[in-house]
Amino acid sequence: MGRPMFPRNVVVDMRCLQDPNYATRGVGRHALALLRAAPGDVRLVGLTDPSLPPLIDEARDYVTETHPNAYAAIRALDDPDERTPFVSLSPMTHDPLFAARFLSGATRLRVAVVYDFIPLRWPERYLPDPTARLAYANALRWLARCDLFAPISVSAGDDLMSTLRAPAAAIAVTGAPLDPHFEAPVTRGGARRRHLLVVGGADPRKNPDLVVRAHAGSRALQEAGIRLVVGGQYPPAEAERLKSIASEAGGRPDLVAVPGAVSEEALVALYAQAMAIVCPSFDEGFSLPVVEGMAAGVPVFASDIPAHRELVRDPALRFPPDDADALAPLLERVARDPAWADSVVAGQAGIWPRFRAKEVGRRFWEAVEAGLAGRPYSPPTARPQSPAVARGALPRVALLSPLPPDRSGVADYTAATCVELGRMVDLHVFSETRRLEPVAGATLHPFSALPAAAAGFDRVIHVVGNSHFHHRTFDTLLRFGGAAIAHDARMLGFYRILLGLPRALAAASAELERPVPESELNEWMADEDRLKALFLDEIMDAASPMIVHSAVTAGRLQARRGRSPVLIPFSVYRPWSGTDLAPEARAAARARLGLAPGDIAIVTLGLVDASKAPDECLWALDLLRGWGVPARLSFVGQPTTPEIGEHVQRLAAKLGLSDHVTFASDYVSEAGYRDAIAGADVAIQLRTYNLGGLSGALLDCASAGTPTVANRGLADAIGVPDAYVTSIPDALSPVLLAEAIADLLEAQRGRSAAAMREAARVAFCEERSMSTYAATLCRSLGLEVETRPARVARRVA
Amino acid sequence: MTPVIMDCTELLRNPIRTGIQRVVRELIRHWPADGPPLHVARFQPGRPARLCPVPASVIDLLTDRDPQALSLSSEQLAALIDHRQGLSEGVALPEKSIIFVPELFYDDQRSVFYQGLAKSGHKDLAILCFDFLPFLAPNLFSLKTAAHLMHYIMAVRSFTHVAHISADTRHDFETRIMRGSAPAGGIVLPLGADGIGVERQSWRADRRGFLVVGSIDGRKNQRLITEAFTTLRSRGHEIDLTIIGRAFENQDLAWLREAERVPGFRWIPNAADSTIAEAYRQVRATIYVSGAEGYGLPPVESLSVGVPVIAPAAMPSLKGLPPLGQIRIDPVGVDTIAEAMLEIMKPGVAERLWTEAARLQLANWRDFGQAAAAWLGERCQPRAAGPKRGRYGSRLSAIRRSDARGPFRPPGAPRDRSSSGPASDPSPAR
Repeated sequence: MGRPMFPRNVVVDMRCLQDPNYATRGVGRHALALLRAAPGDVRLVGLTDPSLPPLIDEARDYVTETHPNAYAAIRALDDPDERTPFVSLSPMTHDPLFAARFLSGATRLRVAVVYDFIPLRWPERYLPDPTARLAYANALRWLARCDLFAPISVSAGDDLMSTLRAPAAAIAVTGAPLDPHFEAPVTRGGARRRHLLVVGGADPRKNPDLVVRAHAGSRALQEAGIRLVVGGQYPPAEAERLKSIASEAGGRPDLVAVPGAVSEEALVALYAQAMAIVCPSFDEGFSLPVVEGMAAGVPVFASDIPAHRELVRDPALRFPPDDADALAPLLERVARDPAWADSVVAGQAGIWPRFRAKEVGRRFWEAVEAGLAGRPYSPPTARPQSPAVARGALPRVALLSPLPPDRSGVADYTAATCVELGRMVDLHVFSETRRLEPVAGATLHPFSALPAAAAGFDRVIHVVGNSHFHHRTFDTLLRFGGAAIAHDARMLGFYRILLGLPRALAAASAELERPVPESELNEWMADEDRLKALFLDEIMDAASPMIVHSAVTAGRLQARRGRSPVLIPFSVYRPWSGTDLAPEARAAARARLGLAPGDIAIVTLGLVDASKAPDECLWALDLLRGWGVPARLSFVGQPTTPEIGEHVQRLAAKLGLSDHVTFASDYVSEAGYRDAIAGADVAIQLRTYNLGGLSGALLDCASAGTPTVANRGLADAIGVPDAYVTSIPDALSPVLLAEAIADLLEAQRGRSAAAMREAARVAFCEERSMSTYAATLCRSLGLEVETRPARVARRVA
Repeated sequence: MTPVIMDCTELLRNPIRTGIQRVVRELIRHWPADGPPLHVARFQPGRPARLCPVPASVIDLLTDRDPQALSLSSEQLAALIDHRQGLSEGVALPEKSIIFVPELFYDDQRSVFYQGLAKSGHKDLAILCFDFLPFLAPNLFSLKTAAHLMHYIMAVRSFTHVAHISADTRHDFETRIMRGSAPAGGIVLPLGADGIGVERQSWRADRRGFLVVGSIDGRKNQRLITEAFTTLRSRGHEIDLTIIGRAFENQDLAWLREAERVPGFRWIPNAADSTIAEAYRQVRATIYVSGAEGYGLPPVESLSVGVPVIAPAAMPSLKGLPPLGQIRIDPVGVDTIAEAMLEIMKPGVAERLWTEAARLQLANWRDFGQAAAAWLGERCQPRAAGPKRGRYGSRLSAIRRSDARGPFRPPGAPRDRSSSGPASDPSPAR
C-alpha cells in the first residue's frame, strides 16, 4: 500500500508557541520539532489565540496562515466535509474549548501531542483547588475525543491507556527531541570531568535535594572535593536552601554550586565537564537530561520511575527517588572508577540517537499519515455549503443576541429577524435576556458559549452592540469567533464602561496606532463628536464575516482596514400595515395622544440624550411657533440621566414652551411608540456626532411614511427615502431644523402629496423587508438557502 | 431729538481694529454732528442688568482722538479702557432714548437683557444685523451646532427696528429667520469701502501679483485660490500670489505649507499696515472668493483704492454695484479662479478693469454713519423725511458747544463725499 494521500491543509493549535510559559521551553521545543518535520506537501494552518502574545518568530515561519479562532479557520478552509486533520501541540496546557470546534467533528483526524499526566498523580501540588481539578478533568475529556495520540514516552502512552482508555492502536510514541548541541563532537568525551550534575528546575518534583544529601553524606566525595552542580533556574534563596541541606547532611556547602539561569552554551559545557548526570525526579513524562547526558557521552543515573526505565534500562543505574543512600555508591564509583564510567557510557550509547529531532518528527508524521490511512479522503465535490445541509436538513444556525423583553432596539430587531430567518434555517437563539418571550421562527435557549465553541451548528451569529446587553456575546465572539452583526457604529461606551479603562485605552491605541491618553478618552466620552476611534477592530478581527447595517460604517472600515465588512442595509423590523396607517387609524392615534385636530404634532423618538440634540428641537419649536405654526413637540423616550431630563425641561420652561412640549415619564410602550409615529405630522431624528450610526426610530418613521427631518449622516447611514425624509447638515442649526420642518409641512400637504408619499413608503418597505434581509444574511454566511424552496415552504407551513 | 444710546460692549471688551469692532469704531467716528445725540454705553450684567455710560476719555481711545490708542495693542487698549472706565462713570444715560445695538456678538446675557427690555415694553430698540450665516450654514464655521447661539436670534426677533448691512442679510432675516412673520422692507446700511489706509493705486503693466486679504478660517477659500495659482505656475505663468491673514487654530494648513515651496507664493499671517499697503502697490488684482459673507468688505475696499478684484457673483457687497473693475465668477472653483486670473493677466483686460475701477462710486464710512444716524432719527420721529446729508447740521454746533463729558462729539466737520476716507485710519479689513 502506498503512502496515503495527505489533505493539503493541516490545522495546528499553536497556542503553546505563543505562551511564554511554554514557547521556549520543552513543550515549545518539541512542538517546533514536529512542525519542522512536516512533509513538504502539507500546508500548516495555524490556530492562534489573540489574547496571548504573538507567535514566536520561529513558529511563524512554519505556518502559511493563522486564524484567530476555530470558526474563522474552518470558514477559511475549503473543507465542508471536515476532513482537514487537526493537531493540538499541547492539549492539556490551554483552554480546550478554544479549539473545540475542531475536536467536536468526528470525521476529521484529531491528533494530540501528549506530554504527561503528572498532575493526576500529584494533585495536591498541581491541582490544588476544585477549579483547577475541574479544568483538568475538562481538558482530559476533550483530549479523549482525539483519534490519535502522540505521547513523548511509552510511560505517557501507558497513562493514556489507563486514564483515557485510549486503544493501543491510537497511540504512537514519538519521544522528545534532543537538542543537537548536546551531541556536538566537541562536547563528547574529551573534556575533563570535574563535577556531578543535576539538571532540575524550580519544582520539588525534580528532587535535587536527594542528590545534595547523597553528595553531602559521602565522605569520599567530600574529601575529594568533588563539586555538585545543580542546574536549573533556581533563585538565590533556593540555592541557599540546597546549601543548607548539604550542611545538615554533614557536607561542605561550598561544594554545592547553583549557577541559576545559564545560557545554552554554558549548559552544554556543564554537561561536557560532568562526571555523571543525575536525574532524581519523582515523576516525568520524558526526561530530556537523560538523553542529553547520554548524547554528551556522560554516564547517566536516574530515579526508578516509569519514564526513566525506558531510557536507563540497566536497573543498577537507577535508584529510588527517596533513597539517598542508594544513590551515593553510584556517585562515589563514577568518581573513582573511570573505566566503569566508560562502560556505562558505552552501554547507554544506543539509546539517545532515536531522539534526534528529525527522528521524533518523522515518527509523528508517519503516525499522522497512518491515522489518515484509516480515514479515506474524499476530494471536494459539488456539495452543499454546510454539513447540516449535506445531511439533507436545514442549516442549523445559532444566534447569540438579546431579545424582548429587554428594552433594546437590537432585541426588537433580532426578534423581527428571527421571524424571517427562521423560515430559511433551523434557528436557535441563545440569549442573556431573562424571562424570554416566545419569538416566532426560533427555538430559544439560555445564553451559552457552547454553540460558538463547539461544532453543533453550521453557522453562529453574534449580535453585538454598544450596551450591556451584549457583554457575554461579545466575549464569546472574541474567544470563539463566528459571524457578527455589529449594530453600532462605535463601541466607545462598551469598552470604557463595561470592559474598563485599560482595555479601552489599549484598543484605541491599537486602532489609531499611537498612544491614546486617558484624557483623550475622557474627552470622547464627554463629546462623541470628537471620537477618533470606532472600537470595532476586535470585532472585525474575530468575526467571519462582520456584518454592518450602515454604509457609512462600512466605508470607514474599508478606508482604514483595506477590507470592507459585509453591508446589509438596516431593514424594517417594525412593519406597518395599510390599516395601521389609514387616516382613521392615524386620527385615533392622535386622539389617544391628546392632540387637537389643528395641532402640528412633532415627535422625536428614543432616549433623550444630549447626543440626540434635544436643545435644537426645542429652539426649533420656538421658531416654528414664532412663525405661526401651532406646533407641539413630544419627546418619546426617557432621559438617559435625570440631569439631561431636568435640563431639557428647564430650557422648555425658559423658552415659554412648557405647555407645548411633552415628556415621557416612563418607558414608552410599544403601543405608545407606534401611536407617536402614526399620529405625528413630522418626526425629528438627530445626532450631534456623525460616525455612521443608525437610528431604529428613523427607520420606523420612514417605514411608517411619517415626514421626518434627520441630519445627513444619519439619513445616509440608513438610506431613507428623500420623498418625505429631509436631511439637514450634520452641523446642526435650529433655524435649519425649523425651516426644514416648515418646508416639509407645506410640501406634504394635500392628497397628491400623500399619495406620492405612500408610493415611496411602499417601495422602501419592500426593498428593506426583513425577508430580503434574512435572505441576504444567509448568503453572506455562505448558506444558499434560496435553492431549497420546498423546505422553506414546508417550514413555513 | 431723541438721543441714541449705542451699546458698544464688545468693542470696549476687545477693541481690535478689524471685523465688527471696526464697523462700530467707524460708526462712532462718523456719527454725524447733526445727528441724534449719541451716548456710548456698555452692558453691566447683574441684578438688575443695565447699560452704563462710557466716559468721553474712553470714546477718545476708541476713535483714536487720543493718539495713545494708536500705539497700543488691543490687549493694552482694553486694559486702558477698563482703567478709564473705573475713573469716571460718564454722563448719566438719558431716560428717554432709542437704544441701538450695533453688535450683539451672540452674547447670551445681553441677548436675554434685550429680550427682557422688549417684553417690558421698550419700543425703541434698534439693532444692526451683519449676517445669519452661523445659523444658515453652520458647517462653514466648524460649528457642531448653532443651538448655543439661539439667544441671539430670539433677541433680534424682539427688536423693534432692524437694519442690515446688505440686501442679502435682510433677505435672510425676512424670509428665513422671521419666515414672513414680520413686516418686510428693513433698511440696508452698506458699509464703507474707504477703510484701508492705502493711497489710490494706478495701473502699471509690471503689476503681476495677486493679493488675498482675510483670515484663513476655512470659509474664504484661500485653498482654492492657491490651487489655481500653483496650477498656473506649473503651466509656466509668471504670476505671484500673496495671502495676508492669520489662520484659525482649527485649520489644517498642509496645503499652505506645500504652497510656500512654490516660487512667487507668500503667506503673511500677521501683516503690519505698511506691509499691506506695499502689497497693494504691487498687485494687478485682488481675489476674494469667500463661500459665504454677510457683506464682504475686501472686494469693495480693493476697488476703492482702484485695484480690480476677482470675486464671486453672489458677493453681497458687489451685488448693487455695476460690474466695473471686477471679474465675477460662478461657481467658485479652482478652474474658474484660474481662468479669471489668466484673463486679468491679459494687458488689455487688466488696463480696462483698472480704468473701470477708477470710475466706481462707492459708499464710504461717512455715508454709513450718516445713514445709520438718519435711520435711527427717523425711527424716533416717523414724521421726518428720509436721510439727507446735513439734515442735522443745525445740531452740530449745539453738540460741539456741549460739555466734553456730554454726548459724544464727532471729530470735526463732515468731509466731502468724494473723500477716500481718513488718512489716519489704519485699519484694513483682514
